[in-house]
Parts: sequence; structure tokens; C-alpha cells
Amino acid sequence: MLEVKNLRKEYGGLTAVRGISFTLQPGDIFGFIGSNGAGKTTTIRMISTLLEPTSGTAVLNGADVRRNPMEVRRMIGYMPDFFGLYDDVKVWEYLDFFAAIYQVPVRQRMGVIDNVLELTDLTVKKQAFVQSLSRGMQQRLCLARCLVHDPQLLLLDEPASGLDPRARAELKELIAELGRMGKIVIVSSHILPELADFCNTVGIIEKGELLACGPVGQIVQGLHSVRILRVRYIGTNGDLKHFTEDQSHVQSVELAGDGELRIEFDADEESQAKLLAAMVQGGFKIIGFREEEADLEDVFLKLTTGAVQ
Amino acid sequence: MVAWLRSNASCYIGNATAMRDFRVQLRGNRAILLWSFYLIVLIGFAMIVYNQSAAGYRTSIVEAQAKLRGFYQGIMILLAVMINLITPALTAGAIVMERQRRSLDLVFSAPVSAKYFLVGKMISSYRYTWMLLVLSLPVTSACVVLGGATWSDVISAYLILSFNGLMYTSIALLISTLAKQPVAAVIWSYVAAIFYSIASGVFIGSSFMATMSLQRTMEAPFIVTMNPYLAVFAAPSYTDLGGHHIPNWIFGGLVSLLICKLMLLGAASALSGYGSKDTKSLRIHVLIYALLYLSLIGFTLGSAVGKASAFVTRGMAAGAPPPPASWDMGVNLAFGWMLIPLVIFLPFLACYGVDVERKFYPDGLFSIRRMFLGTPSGGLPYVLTLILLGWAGMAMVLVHYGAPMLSPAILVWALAFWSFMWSIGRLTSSFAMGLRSARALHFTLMMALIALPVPFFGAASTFDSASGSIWDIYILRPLMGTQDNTMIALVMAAILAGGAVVLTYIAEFNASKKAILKGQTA
Repeated sequence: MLEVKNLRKEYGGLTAVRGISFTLQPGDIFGFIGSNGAGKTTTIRMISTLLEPTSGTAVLNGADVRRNPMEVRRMIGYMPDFFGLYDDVKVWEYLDFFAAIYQVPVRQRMGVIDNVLELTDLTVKKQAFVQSLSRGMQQRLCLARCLVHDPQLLLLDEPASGLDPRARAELKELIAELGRMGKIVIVSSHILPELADFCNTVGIIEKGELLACGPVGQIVQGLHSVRILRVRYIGTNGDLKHFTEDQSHVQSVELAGDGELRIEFDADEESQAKLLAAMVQGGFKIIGFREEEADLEDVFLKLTTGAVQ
Repeated sequence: MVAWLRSNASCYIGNATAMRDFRVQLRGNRAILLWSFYLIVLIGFAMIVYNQSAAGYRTSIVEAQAKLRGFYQGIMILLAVMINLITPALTAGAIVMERQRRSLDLVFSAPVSAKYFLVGKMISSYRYTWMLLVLSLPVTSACVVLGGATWSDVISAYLILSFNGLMYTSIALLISTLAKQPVAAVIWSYVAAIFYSIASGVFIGSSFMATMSLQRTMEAPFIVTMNPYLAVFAAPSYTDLGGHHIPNWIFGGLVSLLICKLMLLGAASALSGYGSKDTKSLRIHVLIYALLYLSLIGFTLGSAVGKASAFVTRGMAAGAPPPPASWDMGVNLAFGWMLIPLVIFLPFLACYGVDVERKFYPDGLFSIRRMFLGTPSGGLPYVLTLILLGWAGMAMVLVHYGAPMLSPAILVWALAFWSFMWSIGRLTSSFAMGLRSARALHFTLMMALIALPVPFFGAASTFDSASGSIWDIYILRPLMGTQDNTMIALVMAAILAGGAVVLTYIAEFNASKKAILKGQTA
């Protein structure tokens, strides 16, 4: 479990991070959202022990980043927003170096390297020089590097930046797989669709302050008092529109451009079911009824002002 | 204890950084080509030197021996040049390249200490230098076979060259840690190597003169081993300690290791940033070294004067005979030699500003509590402690030998002088031009104050400590001459202290105007 407690970083009079707190459980994939300069990287660097907090701390499975940084480092895998690869080094040598500095016993190293290469789909590149890999492969190699010591927490800073759509999709799948393996994954990004797909928790940061934190749906719900329902049916739109407007908890109804009804609804899922039942009983041929997915981008834009420090 | 030993052993044996660099160094045919080229140059040079000095003439045995000796000296000087030229080139890129490819964060997010990483880099670079020394052994062996030197000479000289190589490596490693660009690291490493070679030569020369004049001996002091170009002369030298002849390369080796440790601690401190254990350790080591250095000078002076038993403590007995000129010269030299490292490192202690990520932000003027943290407010108390401790160490040793007591006026002057120099650093920082520029300007101004007046004053008048001259306004005047400088030292101390106060006030005013102290530009 990772507990971030009132983490704060000041440089002289400038406060880069202002008392951030959150807790993550094994299996959580935490999307850390914020504009450039919001304090994401500073927070990640503090959790990874590369930067000493001015006050507050983070505790990973009982190890404190301030009191026991070496213990924390053994449990984390940090992937910055750059590769930091060595020239003239083969893929397996690169991983062997990191396995050595993470104190993986010599006898186990080759097995570990084979495993992480398989997980990141780089087995065929084991003997290749790192500078000969494509950008997507280099990104996966960096992820493989983070995994050589089987960390509990992965800190991925802008992991998909600069990747093509295919490499991006593969990376997303890989991160989701790591979450399923029970690791805590913190992914920072300012590209929201990148995170919305696979993060179960998000934190929105601006000017060093955590504006919102929690499951995606919960944050959206907290921000929007009404739910947006989309209804598709066979027949005339106008009839259903008038019918729906008379139902309880319905705030407004409008015809969406794609032939659907867009309903602003201010009650829970039980009431949604009652509304659907009423429509069916009213004789309307409903072929689609769904709540609109939480729009992270919308939430982000509403919460933040775009100010940087 | 076992864990400590294990952790230290892991630094030196099977170091992952050294192992990775080793793979890269030996990859392809680059290394083989370099070594072949090196051997061809070495053998070619040896043949030229041999032909010019020892071969092909019918000479007497004595003359032949002298020529062979010349051949041996030529080879050893070539090796010293090689160390001077190759070591900085091999080491300068070690850390700065890592920083440039931004792999340092990856390494330090792993459970790796700065020491482990730096020792690995040190092994990588030094191993190469050492390999080049070993490759030259067949050529130097020829000197033994031909009769120019004995095996003992050759082995001692090699050890001295190795220790010097270690020092050059550690200096280049420190510069590599501080540099931003690889080219700058290489240039500065060469500058440092050349500066060290010249400065150590001058230091050895002045110490030799002082030893000769004080102890009436022609024995080379052990520091002769600190310059690679003097390896031939240092190899057979020894120090008489309690009736035992201890080879000087042993002392030279110890000093080299201490300097190497200091450089590595400096590099570790730069890598770790403020408040790290390495910064604290570095500062404590420097205090201890200053104490040891001045105590050693005190020992040399005191034992010489103590042996003579001709003097009483200055200031204790009115009308007591003055100490000899050589004694004053020794004391002045000791303080004078402390100038060089302090002038070089004071900008790192006094200046503040923005430095990429680590911010050397101003956190006050004077804080004894932060003396070992590395923040700017701890700079002045640290420098003053360094001077006080060094002075106290020297004074205690002198008292022990019953030698003339150091004049407290020189201490007062030293404290005022370094406070003034520190205030220049605060002033340059207050212009908010960036940390590096502030440091560069600080260093330049200090050098201008110390070095610039010398040729002008020299042209205007010849220095004579017995009569007044324009030299009396020179900032280092209290360290000059052989007369009692108490009055001059006190007057100059008052002027410098006043200057320090004024400059600090201007610096703080300037900084607050530019909002640096509020950290708004940090």
C-alpha cells in the first residue's frame, strides 16, 4: 500500500507541491493528471526518493521515503519521461546492469531478464544494441528495466509520449496487465484519453495542489450533479421526448445530433431503471439505454484553470 | 561491522557500473587499436631516446651509466606525460555523459549510493590508465636490463605514477560531476591536470627550500611523490621516522588516497545535493585535512625550531629575539598555500542561485546549524571554522615544540580576509545572473584582487618588509616578508572586515530588490 501524506516541496519561496495526500492499494492504476508544470513530476520524483520533500512523506509498505529511501528504492520501478539508454550496450546487458544494481542475485539474473523481455515482448531483441531499437521498443525496454526487481510500485512519468498509436495501445495493455499482477501503478500524463481507458483512480493536480482524487466515476459524479442518459429507440423522436419530459428526476431532454435522446437525470441507478421501465410500458421500442461515460477531459477542464507556477 | 565490510567490498568487487563500462570499453577493436598505437609510440620514443643517449658509442662505464640513467628518466617522464594527457581524457566524460543522456536518475532511483556509482566510474577510468602503465613495463624493463635503473627504482616509480594517476582520475571525476557539457569537462579536466602539475611542482619546490633552510638538510620531503614528473627522483627517496627509513612512496600513496577520497566525496556531494550524508562527510573531511595539513606544517617548523632551542615564545617575553626569517617564511607559506584551494572552492560555498533542479537558494547569511548542510547560509561559518581549526592545530603543535607562537593578528586578518572574499560571492549572486555566472565572477574578482596588483606593484617598487612601499596596500601583505606584521595585519583586517560588512549589505539590498531572497525567481 502506498500512503502519500501531505507531501510538500518548496524551492526557496516557490512551492512546487502543496501538501498532496492520497492512498493507493495493490492493483490500483492511478492516473496523475495535470498541465505541464503542475507538479506531477516533482511529486513522482519525491515518491521515487530522487527529491527530498520539504515536509510530509510517502510510505510504501511501511518504508518511509525520508527515513528509509534505500528500502523504498528496492520496491519501486521509476520510468521517467526520457529513456536514458546507454550506447554500445546490448538489450540483455542493459537489463543485466540494472538487475545488478537492484541486487538481483547473479544466478537469477538471466531468468529474470528472460521473463521481463517476454512480458514486454522484446525476447527477439535480446542480443540487439539498444540504440538500434525503435522508439516504442525502447519505451518497452525502459519498462522492462523497471520490472527486473519485481517492484511493488511503478512510477511512470509520461510513458506514452511520442509513441505511435499502435505502440501506445500495446503500452496501455502492458500497464493494465501490471495492474492485474497486483502492482500499484502511478501514471502521469497530460493526455487525458491516454489515462481514461485503463486507470481506475485519478488525481488532478494544478499549481502543486491536488484538486480531486479518487475513482474516475466518483470524481465525475462529484462534479456533475446530473447524469447524462442516452436513449435510442425505433419510432418518432418527438413522442418519446414529450413522454420523458413528464417523468420524475428528468431535468431536461434534447435531441442529440446522432438520433438519440440526451437526458439530464438527477437520480441514482434505481430511478434510471424505473425510467426505462416506464418508457417500455409506454409502448416505446427502446433499443439502447445507457449512461454517458465519465468524460475525464471535461472534468479536468472544469476543475483546472490552466495556471502554472 | 560485517555488513559494513560487505557493502564496502561490493563497491570495489563486482561493481555493476565498472562491469558495464568494461564491456563497452572492450567492445569491438577500438581498445586493441588504441593500445597498439600507444605501444608503437612508446617503443618509437624509447628507441629515439636510447639512440640519442645511450647507444652506439664507445664510452666509459661511468658515462654509459649516466646515459642509461638519462634514458630511464626520459621514459619515466614520457609515462608522466601520458598520465597527464590520457587520464583526463578517459575520465572527464564519465559522469557528464551520464547526465547528458539523463541516465543518472535511473541509477539513483535504484538502491545505489553515490559512493558505489562513483567508485565504479573510478575503477572504469583508472583501470584503463593502469593498463597503459602495465603495457609500458616491457619498455621500462629494458632500463633495468641495460643498467639505467634497478627493479626497486622502477617499481617505486611505477607506484608513484599509479598514485598520481589515481589523483588525476579523481580530479577529472569531480570535474565531470560538476560540468554541464562533455567538452567543458574535458577542457577543465586538462586545465586542472596542468594546474595540478605546475602547482604541485611549485609547492614541492617551496617546501624543499623551506626544509633546507629550516632543517639544513637536502632530503626531499615526502611530498615530492605528489608530482608524476618527479617520479624518478622521488622513487629512491625516504623519510627518516623514529630512526626508520620509510620509503616516500608510502606517504605519497596515503596522501593520494586521502586526496582521492576528498575528490570522490566532493563528487558524491554534488550528485546527492543538499543535506546529504556525503556533503556532511565532505565538509568534516576538509576540516580534518586542514587541521592535519597545518599541524604537519607546525610539526615541520616546530621540530626545526625546537631542535635549535634558540627562541622563546613571541609576545611572551619582551625583547625576546625574533624568530629566524625562514620560520616566518614557513608560516607564510603554509597560509599562502591554503589560499589556492580556498579561492577555488569558496565560490561553491558562498554563491547562490538557480542550478537546473537543485536550487542553491539563499537561506540566510550566517547559520552555524547549517554549516555541514551545504546551503549558502552555512558557508561563512564553515570557512571561519576551517581557518580557526587550522590555526589552532598549527599553534598547538608549535606550542608543543616550544617554538615561537603564531601571532593572533594573522588569524584576525585571515578571518577578515575570507569574510571579505565571501561577501564578494554574496554580491555576485545578488545580481541574479545564475549560479554558474555568479561563481565565475566571484572567482575572477578574487583572482583580480590577489593576482592583478602583483605586476603593477612589482613595477612600481621592490618589496621590502623593513620599509614602507606600495606593497603595504596589497591584500596579502600580512603574509609577505619576514618582519612582524602585526600592525599591518590588524589594520588590513579592520579594512577588510568593514569592506565585508558593506558588500554584504549591498548584496542583501540588491537581492531583496530583485526578489531573490523571497525566492520568486527560484
